[in-house]
Formats: sequence, C-alpha cells, structure tokens
Amino acid sequence: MKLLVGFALTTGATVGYGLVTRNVVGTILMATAGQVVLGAYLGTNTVVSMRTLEEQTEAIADGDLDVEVRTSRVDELGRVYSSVDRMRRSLAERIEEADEARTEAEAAEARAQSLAEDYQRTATDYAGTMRAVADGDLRRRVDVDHEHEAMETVGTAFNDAVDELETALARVDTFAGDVADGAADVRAAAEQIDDRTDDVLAATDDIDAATDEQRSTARRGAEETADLSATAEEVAATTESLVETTDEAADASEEARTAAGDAIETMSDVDETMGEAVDRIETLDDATAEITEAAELIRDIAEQTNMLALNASIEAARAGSDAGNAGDGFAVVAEEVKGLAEDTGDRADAIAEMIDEVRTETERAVEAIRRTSEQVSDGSTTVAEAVDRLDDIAEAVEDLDQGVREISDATGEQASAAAGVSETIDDLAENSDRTADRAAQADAAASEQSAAVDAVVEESETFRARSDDLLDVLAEFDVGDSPAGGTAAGDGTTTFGTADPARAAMSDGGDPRGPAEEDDGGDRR
Amino acid sequence: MIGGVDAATIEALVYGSGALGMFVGVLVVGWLLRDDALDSEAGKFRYLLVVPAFAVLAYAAMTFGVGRLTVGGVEAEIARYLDWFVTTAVMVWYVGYVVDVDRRWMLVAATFDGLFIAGGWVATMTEGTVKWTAFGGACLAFVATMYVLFQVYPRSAGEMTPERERLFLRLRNQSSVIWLVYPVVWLASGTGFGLVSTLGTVMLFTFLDVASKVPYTWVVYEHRGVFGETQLAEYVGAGGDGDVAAGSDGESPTDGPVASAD
Repeated sequence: MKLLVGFALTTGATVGYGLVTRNVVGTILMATAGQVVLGAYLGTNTVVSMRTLEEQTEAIADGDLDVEVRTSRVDELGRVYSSVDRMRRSLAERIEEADEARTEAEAAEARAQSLAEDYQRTATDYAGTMRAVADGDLRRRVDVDHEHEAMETVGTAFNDAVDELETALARVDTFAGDVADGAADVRAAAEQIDDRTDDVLAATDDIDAATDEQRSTARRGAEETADLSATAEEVAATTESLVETTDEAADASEEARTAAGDAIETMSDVDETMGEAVDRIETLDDATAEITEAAELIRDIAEQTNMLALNASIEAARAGSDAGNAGDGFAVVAEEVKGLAEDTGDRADAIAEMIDEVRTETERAVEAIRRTSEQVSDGSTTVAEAVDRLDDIAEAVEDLDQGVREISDATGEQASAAAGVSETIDDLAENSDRTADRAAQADAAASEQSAAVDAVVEESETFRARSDDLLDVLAEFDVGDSPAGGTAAGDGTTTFGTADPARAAMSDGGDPRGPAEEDDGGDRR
Repeated sequence: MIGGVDAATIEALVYGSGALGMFVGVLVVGWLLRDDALDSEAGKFRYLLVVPAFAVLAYAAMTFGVGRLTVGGVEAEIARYLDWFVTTAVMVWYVGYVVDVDRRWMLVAATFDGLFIAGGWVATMTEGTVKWTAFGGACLAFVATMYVLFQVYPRSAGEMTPERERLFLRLRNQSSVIWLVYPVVWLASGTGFGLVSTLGTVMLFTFLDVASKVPYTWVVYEHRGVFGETQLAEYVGAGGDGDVAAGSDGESPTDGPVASAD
C-alpha cells in the first residue's frame, strides 16, 4: 500500500513536472529525487530491521536468551523476527528441561546412595557371620534382613547352604574313614604285582642279551659279503673300461687302414702322372731332333750360298776389269749375299747348339722322373705292407675284446651272487632285530608296569594321608545338632576325627584342605 | 504560460498542494498526541508537531506570496528558508532525542544544521565570490552535521534498546539521504546555474520537503510503541501478546498501514 502510494506520488510528481516545465534537466532531477525518497524510506527500513535482528541473534548466540526479538513488521522480515524469537524461547525451554532433568538425576542418585548404604550395612553383618562359618563355626546363622528382598534371599540361601554343608560334612567324615581302609588294601595288592613284574623283567633281559649276540654275528657276515660284492663290482668296472679301450684301438686301426688305402691310391695317381710327363718329354725329344735336322739343312744352304757368292765375286772382278762400273756393282751384291750366308750359317749353328742343350736337359728330366717313379712304387709297396700289419693288429684287438667281455660277464655274475648272499644275511639280521625289539618292548612294558605299580603304591599311601588330612580338617568344624545323627556324640557337639582314636593315629599332620578337594581326592580310587 | 495559465498561478497551486501534503504530517502527529496508550511527553510529540505544522504555515505563506524577495532577477522565498531553519533543526534534535543523546551534541548538530541553512540563504541572496563562499560554507556545515549524526550520536546515545535503535537509524538515514538532493537542486536552480526555471525549482523543493517531513512523522508513528506507557510497549506488535496492554492496539497486525508495510 505504502509502496504503491509512494510510486504513484513520485511518478505523478515527475510526470507533472515534465508536463508543466518541459525542462529535461529538471525532470531528471525530479525523477532522481523521487527515487532517492523511495529508496531512503524503503531501504533504510529493511537495513535497520536486518541490523537490529543481527544484533539480537548475536546476543542469543552468545547465550543471552532473555533478549526478546519482536517487531511491528508483518512481512517476511516480521516472520523472520517471529521465527528467531520462537527459536530463542524453544532454546530457553530446552535448557530449563535439561536443568530439571539434572535435578531429578541428582535426587535419584541420592536415593540410590541411601539404598546402597543400607545394603552395605546388611552385607557387613552377613560378612561377619559368613567369616565365622568359613572359620569352621557351622553353628552360626546370619540374621536375615527382611527389609530388602535381595538381601533376604541372600541371607536365607546362605543359612540353607550352611545347613546342608553341616549334613554333608558328617557324611564326608564317614566316607573318609572307609577310604583310608581301602587304601591300605590297595597297597598290599600292588606290592604283590610289583614282585611278579620283577620276574618278567629278568626273563626279557636274557632274551635281549641272546639276540644282541646273534645280531652282531649277522652284521659281520653282511659286512664281509658286502666287501666281496664291492670288489667284484670294481673288477667289472675295470673290464668295462678295458673293453672301451680295445674298442678305441680297433677304431684307430680301422682309421689307419683307411688312411693307408688313400695313400696308395694317391701314389698310383702320381705314378700315372709321371708316365704321362715322360711321354710328353719324349715327344719333345723327337721335336728337337727334327729341329736339329732343319738347322743342319739351313747350314748346308748357307754354305752353298757362300760358295755361290764367292763365285759371283770372282765373276765380278773379272767383269770389272772389262766393264768398269757394272762390275763394281755386281761385286757389291756378291759381297752382301756372302755376308748374309755367313750370318745364316752362324744362326743355324747357334740353333743347333741350343737344341743340344735342350736335349741334354730333357734327358736329365726324364732320368729324374724315372727315378721318382721308382721311389713312388717303392712307397706304395711299403704302405701296402703297413696295411697288412694293421689288419693283423685289428684281429688281435678283436680277440682281446672278446676275452675282456668274457671276464666282465664272469665278474658281473660273481657280484650278483655276492649281493644275493648279502641280502640273505640282511634278512637274518633283520629277524634278529625284530626279536630284540620284541624283547625290548616286553622289557619296557614290564618296566612301565613296575612303575605303574610303584605309582599305585605311592598313590595309595598319599591317599591314606589325604583321608587322614580330611579327618583332621573335619575335626575343626563346630557343628550344633549333627544332622548325620549316627556320628553325633552324647554332648551335642561333635568333634570329627578325634572321635576315632585309630584314625587320629593315621594322621600325618598335613595341611588342612577344603572339603570339596578331599571329596575330589576320593574319586581317584 | 502553460495552457493559458500563468506561472505564478501554477506556483501558487504547487505551494498549496505542498501545504496540503504537510497537513498529512500534522494529522499523523495529531494521532500520536491523541493516542492514550502512548506517553506523549516521553515521545515529545508536541515538538515533533512543529515539523509539519511550521511547514504548513510556511507553504501557506508562500501560496499567498508572503515574504517573497527578488534578488538580481531571481526570486527567493524567506518563508522557505525560515521553514528549513526551524524544521530541520527540530528533526536533527529529535533524531538524537530518540536514543537520548547527550544534549550538548544535539545542540551541536542543530547548530551545524542551522549554519547549513543560513549559508544557503546567504548564497541565495548574494552574487559572485560571496555567493560561492557561502555555498561552500553551507556544504561544510552539512558535512559536519552528517558527521555528528553518524559518528557522534551512536557513541553518546544514552538509551540504545533495539527498538529505539531501529527508530533512530530509520529517521537519521532516511532524512540524511533525502537532504543530499537539496544542494544539487539549489545548484540547478536560478540561484545556481539556472538549469531549472523558478517554477521547476519550486516544484522540486516542494516535493522534497513533503517527502522528507511527512514520512519522518510516519516513521515515528510506526515505532510509536517505543513511547508506550510501559517499557515493553514496542514488543507487542506482531506477536499480539495480550499481557502487555500498552501499544497493543496500535501495533496489532490488523492495523492497516503497518500490515501493508513493504
């Protein structure tokens, strides 16, 4: 409503201003003034409400729950104020409730304390009586507290329990006497068993000694056959390695034979090659012979040419004197032919000479090849002989191998026979071991039996002592009217143990023990 | 001349409506004075009545052209400055009274406020250097007034209950913000840079006056429970706690204006 009025007034003022003055600056100022007025009124209201609310909630947060949070506003902020105030009141109520609860708790605690004190008092009374009963005065009873149900139950139950305990103790006393008598009988019987057991032990000791001797003899036999077997095995092993060696030798001679065969073949190839070389050389020799012939022919031709030239020069000399210069020219040609013939003759001689040298060398080579061929033939023969020898060696090795195998087989059989003997001896030893074990078991059983009998004797002794203790302990209890009746003495106060002089004599003065424990000891029988 | 009506007539109409507007404030304070559940002495409602009542008189005077001066071709209303001089001082004082501020500081604030208005009057009536010196002095006095309101008042407040604090903050903040616009309008008017005509200035000042004084009284009315017969009066409000009689009728949720707040 106020907002609407505000908007209407400011808008009206602005529009009116604009219409009346027609001044832009003034209209803007009026509009601004309107905004400022509205903002000032509405904004400050909200800000102020929030600020005071903040201060009040902070006070509440700091624990001041007496700060009331109210406003006259009924809008959202008014509701926030209202909620915060409700929260504050609710907190205050809770705190009050907590205080009340604490007060109640304290009162309850005080009541519980008082009750506890009552209980404690009654419990102290009960404890005094119980302690007296525990010390043996079974005539005492607790003064039952009827005010508290729990304590009443406890007191009644305790009194009932002491009544029953009194009755039970009287019965235990009778029972303890019987037990002591029984223990003496047990001891006598156990001593008899002990004597018999000693006899059994002596017999088993004899058996043990005999089996020990038998076992040591068997062990020696076993050791000796084991040695024999080991030796035979060693021989067998040695022959095995010998067989391997002869096998290697046979292999080696076979390889040697193969190598010799290869050598012979190679030599025969060399021989053949040499034959071919000799043939070639001989062919060469024939060729040189032909060359020699040709050289001689050239020599003859040269001599004839020389003769021809000599004649020509003579003719030239003759003609020269007749014809002048023509004769001189003819002489020159003759001279040239003569020179040529002489050169040719010289060269033919040189060729003949070289051929002679070649032939000489060729003959020497042929001779050398022949000699080598002969040597090769000799080598082949030698190698063939070596092959024959190697064959002989191979045969010998074969024989040796055979012999060694026979030896090996024989020693193997011997070893297996020795092993059989050893096994038999082992069986024997085992049997004697079993016998010894049985004897030992019998001995142990007899020993255990003896120990058990000793324990029985000891136990029966302890047993008797315990029953004496029990009687002593029972003597410490003071009982009013004996519920057992039969054990009650004439004066109304029965003192257990001392009523029977014979039992008192058995007592060894041991520590007193609880009735329950004594009862448990009785079960051991 | 607008639509056949001359400016003087319109001016008179504006002043008349200003007087009517101010009369609403008089009615509001009148209700406060007549409310038996309130302690009108505690609320100093008579002094508060001065604010709208004096304004009504001033506007009535201006409506009839009483006390108008023309200086250098610019019209100046004596009644307006007299109105401001009296009413703003009362408003400043009442803001402090609400939270029982030390009397001396209330006097200091009212004095600065008076200087602010007086400075404005001098600036209106003079020209040149004197005018602007007076305007500057008036602005300084305004700043000093604000300083006292915002810094000194909260520190020297004697009774700062949440309810009184709320009323104090609303009155102070609301008035201060609106007052900021006055120097701006003055500068825009014929006495300043002449951006706005005399009629325009009259309309602006009238609007601002009504908008600052009538809501002022209305805020006091909204928080009237503070001045109830009992101390818890203001608490009644929305909670409707019947045990506290004072203020319960005025602050009940059925109260029209309050119920429609914001």
